[in-house]
Amino acid sequence: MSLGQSINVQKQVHAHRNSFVPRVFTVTGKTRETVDTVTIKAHSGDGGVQLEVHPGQFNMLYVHGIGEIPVSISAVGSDGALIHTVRRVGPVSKALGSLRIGESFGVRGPYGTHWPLESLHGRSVMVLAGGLGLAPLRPAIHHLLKFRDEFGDVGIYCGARSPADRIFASEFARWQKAKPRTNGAKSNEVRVTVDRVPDHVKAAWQGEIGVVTSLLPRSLPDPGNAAALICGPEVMMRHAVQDLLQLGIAKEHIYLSLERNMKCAVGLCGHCQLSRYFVCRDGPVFSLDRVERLLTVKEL
Amino acid sequence: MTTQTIESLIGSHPFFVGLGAEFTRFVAGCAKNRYAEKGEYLAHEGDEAAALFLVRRGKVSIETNVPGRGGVMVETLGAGDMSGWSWLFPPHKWTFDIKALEGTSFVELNGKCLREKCEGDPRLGYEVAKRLAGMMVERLRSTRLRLLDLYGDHSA
Repeated sequence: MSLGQSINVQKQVHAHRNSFVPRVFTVTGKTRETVDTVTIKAHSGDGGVQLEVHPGQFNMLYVHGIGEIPVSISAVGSDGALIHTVRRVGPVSKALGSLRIGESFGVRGPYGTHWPLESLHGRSVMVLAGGLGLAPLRPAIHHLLKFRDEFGDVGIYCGARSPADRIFASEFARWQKAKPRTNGAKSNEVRVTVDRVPDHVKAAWQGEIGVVTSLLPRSLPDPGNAAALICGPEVMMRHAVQDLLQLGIAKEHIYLSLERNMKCAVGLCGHCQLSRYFVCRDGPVFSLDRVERLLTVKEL
Repeated sequence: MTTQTIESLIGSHPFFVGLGAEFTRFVAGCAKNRYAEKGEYLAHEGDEAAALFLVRRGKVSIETNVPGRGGVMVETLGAGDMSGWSWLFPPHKWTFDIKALEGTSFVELNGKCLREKCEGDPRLGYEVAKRLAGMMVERLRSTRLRLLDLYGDHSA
């Protein structure tokens, strides 16, 4: 590394010095979403300024003595509460999920790019979520519905493993009802599909059975004026992209939230490198035209 | 209230859209407009497969009976979907049940009639075969994706 490069890195580190220091947040609410997924509501315990969060960004959450992981922000409370939804699959996420109300954890962030919602004004927007991928999309859905008049038709299409694996299911009806005030012709569509329905709930299940892409409309009245936001397992996103392109949506109007092994969260350590991008800094939200080729490179 | 002809119902359904007026009229000779009540079966596994269904409104399930579990739903289909291709392939038997999950409007095309028309006019036969193949590719892809169990926890 040359002296010039070293100075540049030092400048970046200096610029991000606050980014490396976790703030203490205290758990003020918990909601069990599924058997292994929990939504944690937390408030700042240090009296500091409220974090400015954009839909689609993530935080690094630190559990004392265990470690730190990236977690998407699944909502921001009206009182500034940070809301994260965590699936308990590793030591840190299990520890986060086990925190009780009143216990604290560290928060660095928010980091990364966000869903470009302001630039989508006037467009119809389709939201495709697979599994826990609905978490980073939820703030975008809240925005779409809060500023409903700014957008055309809104379609929210969610896939889950089974009815019991749906997250935020209690909000679906409200999302369906959030009609625009000025143009009643605009539609809201919220549809859910699952891969399988266990026998003990099959009589009660009213949704669909199949892959999430099967929920998409077969054609769009004005594909040139449509956009899509996608988050879920990468295989699901690759297939969703094929269908969205088939519908005629332009690559630059298809946005994906990618997941990689994010560690520093500020584009320095390289753990989340995806070719020329650092997913933590240049993503996690990318437009398809930037990453389409990279999605099919197995080595990445 | 406007009444749609069977030709317009077929011509506007995604499965046959773009087929052309001549073929649509030809195919319409095999079709009738139908409605199934919730719980009614459109097809039973093992019976002669004598129809292609174009779902217009409502929802049907593809299911099979599993001893001790009853009917197990494999997939649901709704407005704009089609179901039923066994009429084209010997032994012309349904391989799954098709059941209406709610009141469902659909166009039923007689499979034997359609098969004879396809064999009598290879251009029509090729058009129908292409559309069926496209639908099969879509269903196969969906099935493969579901086999991957993408939303499961595979970290262990």
